[in-house]
Amino acid sequence: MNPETLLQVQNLSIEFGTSSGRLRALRGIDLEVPKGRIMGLVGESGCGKSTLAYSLSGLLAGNGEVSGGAILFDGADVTKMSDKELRDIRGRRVSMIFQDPMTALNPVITIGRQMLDIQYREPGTNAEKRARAARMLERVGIPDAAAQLGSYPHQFSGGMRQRVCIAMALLTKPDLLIADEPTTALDATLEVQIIELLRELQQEMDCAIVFVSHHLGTVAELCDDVTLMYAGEVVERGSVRDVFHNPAHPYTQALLECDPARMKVATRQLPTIPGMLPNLVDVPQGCIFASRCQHVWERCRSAHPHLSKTATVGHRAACHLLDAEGRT
Amino acid sequence: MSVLLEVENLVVRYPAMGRVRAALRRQEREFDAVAGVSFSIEAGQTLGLVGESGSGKSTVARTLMGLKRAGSGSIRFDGRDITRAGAQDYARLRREIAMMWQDPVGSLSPRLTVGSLVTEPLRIHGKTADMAAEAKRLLEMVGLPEHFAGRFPHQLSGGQARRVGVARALALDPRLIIADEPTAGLDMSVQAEVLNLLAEMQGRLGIAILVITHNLNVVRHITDRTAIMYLGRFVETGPTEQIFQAPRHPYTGALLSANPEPDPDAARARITLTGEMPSPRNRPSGCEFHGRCLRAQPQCSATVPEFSSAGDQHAFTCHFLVRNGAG
Repeated sequence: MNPETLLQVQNLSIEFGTSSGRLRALRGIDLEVPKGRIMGLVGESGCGKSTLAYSLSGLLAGNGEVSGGAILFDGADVTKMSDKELRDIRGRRVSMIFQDPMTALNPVITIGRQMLDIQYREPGTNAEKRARAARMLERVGIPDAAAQLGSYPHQFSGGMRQRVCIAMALLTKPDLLIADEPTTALDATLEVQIIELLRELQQEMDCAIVFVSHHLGTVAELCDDVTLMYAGEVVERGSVRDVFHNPAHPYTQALLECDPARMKVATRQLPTIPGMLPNLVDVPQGCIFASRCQHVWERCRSAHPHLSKTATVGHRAACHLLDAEGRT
Repeated sequence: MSVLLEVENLVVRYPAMGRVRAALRRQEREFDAVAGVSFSIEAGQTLGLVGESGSGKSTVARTLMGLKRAGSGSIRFDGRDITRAGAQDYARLRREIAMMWQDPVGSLSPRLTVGSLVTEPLRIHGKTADMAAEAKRLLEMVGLPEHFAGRFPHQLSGGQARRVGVARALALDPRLIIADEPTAGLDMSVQAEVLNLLAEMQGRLGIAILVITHNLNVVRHITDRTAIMYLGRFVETGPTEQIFQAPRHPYTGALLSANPEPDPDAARARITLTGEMPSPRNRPSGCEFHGRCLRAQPQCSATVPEFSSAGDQHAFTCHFLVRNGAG
């Protein structure tokens, strides 16, 4: 493994037991996050991006099971770790920011107490830990931070609560921060503030970030690399610039087309992606996007495409068109 | 064209505390969630009402639907004053004004099938028709296959549930549809589908639509006019395309820049506002936006800005002429 690689997901598959059968939520996921880089994980509802993000710190739901592959965090396989080993990395080396800051904090415990609890493995007295917590709150832009340690979550507004969550996540200076749609529950003008804060803190602390989002504009702005997922598979990955300027997979192309922010002129007819997500209990043979793809040909229905190289180094897409030998 | 809905100086108030506490603290018991807005919609036109949480946009919708009483001001629908209309008047009015609620799945009764959901308005209003045929007609109109009539809401995706919501709104051939966040929680590709459907219905049936949303991108493609709301008041109103091309109010500029295009090399003219929207219980002096505005001057905290005209029914409340948020 490249020493600069912090996180490597190899051929990861995850299944959920449901009443209608085994739902194959993730299939053969490969990705890599180098130290200190921000990777965007993008896709629409049901593509498995949150399942993947949660599995990175061993937080799968009870009916979920890793059915193959590995998640190597700094060389150690997260999927094989005991509960104790997981607790050792969670909150210290891997932190998480959740989508909804209203429910991520414990409503009956003060912010200060929660920020002390998070430092339970850190050295130092309680007074030192409180001071550290206050400094961190101040850093994320909470006014009058020291006094706010005695406040409860409901005394903060939504934007402030997400700032508190970010402060808690970064308090222990983790190597990897997983942010699961951290701005979805916030208003647009607050989203801008949170994105800027994340970028500043990332540069200060030099941690790697896995940024889960369905908002293409935000990913283009914040991330270095991007991985696109569709129906439980990685369909394209590469640097943000390569992927957004020269999308190689038809799904990426269609998704970028649909973003109303891209259109410079008003239109009454917006582009859409006709069709529906395939059933993941009975995964179709061939390319997972074939039923909705505009460029579909025979091979797409029979053979499953692997991530193939494009013209640019590090930019890959799972599409037969990139390897179109034998096609007229 | 004739004016279908005319709202003048609408004020809607909510109580903030009990009478006793208000008397003890010598504070106002109520606060203005909507603090004097005026707008009109012509038959067959679409108006977008854009604002963030707490701007009062959903309160406007609830008041128009008769679910909340107006404190003062007037609402006229098709020439009739409906400001003080009672429950019976509204029962009749709801044939002409239909509502699409914010939560696509939550606004459908979980125990009714899609078929009975889309024909429920007909039954409530005593229409005797062949319900199965009506269900088929309505589902076809919103692009759902006929066999969906037997499904329950939990079997629908977000986009499909939204289509059922559109079908319910269309059932009684209304003249005005109020759509509260019609695309909230939907994926980008599905959002485009729903917007296309609304635009198509509007063009085909000539229905007027009031679209309420926090996302400016949503209004651009389906509305003729847009009003930007902040703290219960309009800060800018005008033809949608003009607002997009040349926003005048700094808040509009900030909202526009908050929806960046997905291009890593695009010139980022992001306008980052500081702070959050103040509470309507404790309104700032002068221009209510001055605390967050990047171009605030001393006069902004002292004087309330009047509506200035930028031509062609484009108006905004700012002491300064702002173009594209720059300069």
